[in-house]
Amino acid sequence: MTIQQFVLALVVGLASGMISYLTASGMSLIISGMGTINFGQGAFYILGALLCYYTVKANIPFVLALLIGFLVPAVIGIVVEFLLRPVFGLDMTYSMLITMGVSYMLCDLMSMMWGNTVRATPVPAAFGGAIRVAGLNVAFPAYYMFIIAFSALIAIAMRLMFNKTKLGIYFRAIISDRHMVECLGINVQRLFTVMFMIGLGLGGIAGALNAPISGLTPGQGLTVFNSVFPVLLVGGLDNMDGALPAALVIGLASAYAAIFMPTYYNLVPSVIMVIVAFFKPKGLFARKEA
Amino acid sequence: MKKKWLSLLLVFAMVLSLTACGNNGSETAANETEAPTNEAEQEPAAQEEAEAPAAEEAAPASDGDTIKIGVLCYLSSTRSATLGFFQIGWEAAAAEINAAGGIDGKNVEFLLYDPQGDAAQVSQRLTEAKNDGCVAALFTSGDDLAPTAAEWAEENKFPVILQSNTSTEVTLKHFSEYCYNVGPNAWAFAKMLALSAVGEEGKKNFVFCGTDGAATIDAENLLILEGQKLDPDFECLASYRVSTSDSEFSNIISQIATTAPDMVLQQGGGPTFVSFAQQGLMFGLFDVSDVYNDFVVDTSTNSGLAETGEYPYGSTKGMFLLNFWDESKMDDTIKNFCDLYMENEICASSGYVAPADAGLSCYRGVKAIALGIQACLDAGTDYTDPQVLTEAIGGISWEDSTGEHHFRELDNQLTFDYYYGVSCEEGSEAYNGNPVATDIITYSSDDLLPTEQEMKDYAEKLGVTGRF
Repeated sequence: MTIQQFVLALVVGLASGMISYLTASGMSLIISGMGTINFGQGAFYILGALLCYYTVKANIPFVLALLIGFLVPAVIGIVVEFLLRPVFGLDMTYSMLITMGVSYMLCDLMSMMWGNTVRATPVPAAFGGAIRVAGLNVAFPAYYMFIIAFSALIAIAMRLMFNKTKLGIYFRAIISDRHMVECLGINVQRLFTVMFMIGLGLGGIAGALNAPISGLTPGQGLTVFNSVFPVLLVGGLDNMDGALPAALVIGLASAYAAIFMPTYYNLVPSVIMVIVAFFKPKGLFARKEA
Repeated sequence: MKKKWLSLLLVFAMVLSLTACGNNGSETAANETEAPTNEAEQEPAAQEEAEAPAAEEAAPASDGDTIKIGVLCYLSSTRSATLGFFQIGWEAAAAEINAAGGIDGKNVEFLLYDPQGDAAQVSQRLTEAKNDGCVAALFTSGDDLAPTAAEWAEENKFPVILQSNTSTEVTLKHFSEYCYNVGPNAWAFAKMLALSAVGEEGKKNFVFCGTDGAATIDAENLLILEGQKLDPDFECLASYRVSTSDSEFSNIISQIATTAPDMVLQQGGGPTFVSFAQQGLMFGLFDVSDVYNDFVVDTSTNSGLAETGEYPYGSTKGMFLLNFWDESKMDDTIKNFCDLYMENEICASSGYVAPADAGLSCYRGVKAIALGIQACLDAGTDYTDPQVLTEAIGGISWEDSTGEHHFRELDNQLTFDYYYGVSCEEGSEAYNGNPVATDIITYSSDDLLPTEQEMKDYAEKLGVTGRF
C-alpha cells in the first residue's frame, strides 16, 4: 500500500462513513426515543437527494438545496409519526411494517412524479476541483472534504442540542424513562413528532449531500437501508452515541478493504456486523448498563 | 376499540400499497392504443387485479384477435429506470408490424411481467406468460437472470428471446434450443476490445470494475483470453465487483485512479455508470485511464450525466449498436425504427433524445418472433405450437443497414454488426449532450463471434461437459 492509497482511502472512508452516520443517526434517534425502527429511512434519503437535484437544476444555491433536503423529509415526518401513533407501545413489527409501507409508497410516488430516468447532480462549483497534499503527490476531491466537514458540523450540532438545550434534555429524558416524562406533564407526543422530524431530516440531508457523487433513481430508496443497517447494529440500535464511531469504522474498513481484496470489499460491512452481533449483540459502542 | 380499527385500517392501507408496488402479475400493453408511460403509471392499480393466481387472471384485452408476446421486464426496483428505453423498442417493432396489417390479420399485443430480480420469479413469470396464451416470451431482465430463463425454456420447450447481453452461461452451461439471443454477445464485445484496445492501441493491462452478472464476468475473462492471443503479456491488474444497487464506489475508484491502469473495463449501466463517472471525474480517473464499456453512446445510460455537462468525452470508448446520429448510414428499415422510437409518447414525456441500443435489441427480438410466425403461416404450420414456432424462429433472416441477421446454429446468437468508437462531444448538441462516436470501426459478427472450436476450448477450460 502506497502513501497515496492510504490517504485516498482515509478521505473516502471518512466521507462515506459520515454519510452513513447521518442516515443511521436519524434512525438511531427514532429507535432510542420511540422504540421504532424506521424502515423507510432510505426513501427519505432518496427524496432528499432528488430534491437537491431539482433545486440545483433550478439554479438555487447548493447550501439551500441541502436545507430543503432536510426540511421536506422533516415535514413529511409529521405525517409518518401520526400514522405510527396507534401502534406505539405495541410489538415493533407493526411500526416496522408501516414504515416499510410508507417507504414503498414514497418511492412509487417519486417514480410517478419524476419518472425513473437516472439523474446526475453537478458538483457545486465552490467545491469542485481537488485538494493537493504537498510533498505526498496525492490529490483528493474537495467535495469529499466538504462532506466530512459538513457532516462533522451536524454531528457537533446534534451533540450540543442533546447536551445544552432544553429539547435535548427532554429527548434524553424520554430515552431514559418515557413514563416519568409523561408523569411530569410534558407533551411526549409533540416531542416524538420533533424526534421523527429530525430523524427523517437527517436521512434527507444525507441523501442531498450524496447527490453530486451518485446517480439517482427513486427505486434506490428501497436499498439504502441495506447499507445503513450494519452501522446501526455495530453502533447499537438504540445508541445515538455509537452511530458515529460505528459509521467511521465501517467506512474506513470498507475503504481499506478495497485495497487488499478488491473483489470482496463489499462483504466487509456485513462481516463486521455479523462478528459484532455474535460477540456483542447490543453493539460495539453500546452503553454499559448500570 | 378505536385503536384496533385504526390499526386495521393502517395495516389494510399498507397491504394495498405493498400490493400496488409489488408487481407479481401481468400488464397488457396494446401497442397501438396506450401511451406506455401512462401504462407504467397505471400499473399499480392494475397490479391489484393481477395479484390473484395467473390461472384465474386472464390477460386483459385478449379476445383471440391478437398475437400475444410475453415480456419479462423490470417494472420495479432501481432497474426500472431504464424500462422506457426497452419498451419503446418492442413497441416500435409492433407498430411496424401492425401498420403493415399485422400477422395473420392480427395485431401484436404485449403482456408485461416483472420478475423483480428474483430467479425463482423468472420461472413463475414465464410460466404465467405461457399460460396466458403468449406465443413466445421476450426476456429483458438482465444477463444475471438470463440463464434461469434459458433453463426454463429448455424445460418447458417454449421459445424465449433473450435481449440481454449474451453470456457463456447461456451459450455453454445452460444452452437451450428454445432460447434465442438478440442482445450483444459478451464474447464479441471482449474480442472487439482486444482487437481495438490491445491490438491497435497497444494497451497492456486493465482493471475490471462492474456489476456481477454472467455477461460482465464473461467480458472480463474473455478480454484476458482474447487480449493474450494478441499480446501474451496483457493482464488484469485487479477486479472490483459492485452491486447493481450500489452507488458509492469512491473506495475502488480512488484505488483505480492511483493504480492508473492502461484501461478500465467498466460494466454496469444506468445509475451504476452515472455514479462511476461522477466519482471517476472527481478522482481524475479519466485523466489517467481510458474507460471501455458497451454503451459508449447509449442514451439510456449516458443522458443523465450528459445533462450536467460533465460527461467525459473522449475518455470513454467501446461498443455500440446504432449510429443514431448519422442518417447516411441508415436504410429505410432503420430510419423507420428510429422514427417510430422517437415518435413514441414515452420519448416525449421522458425526454429521451435518441434511440437506445437496448431498444434496438428489443425491436430485433420482436421482429424475429414475427418473422418466425410469418414463416409458419407461409408453410401452413401452427405457430401456436411452441415447438413449431421455435424451429421457425431458428430459420429466419433479414438484412438492414445494421447488418445481416440470422440465428447461428452454434449458439442461437443473432448476427448483426458491432461498432467500436470513441465518445465525442462534437455533434452531441443535437442530443442534449449525449455523446456520439468518432473513429468508428465496424465489425461483422463473423469478425467477432467465437467459432465452434473456440467455444469447445473454452467449455473445456470451464469444465463444461455435454455441450459439444
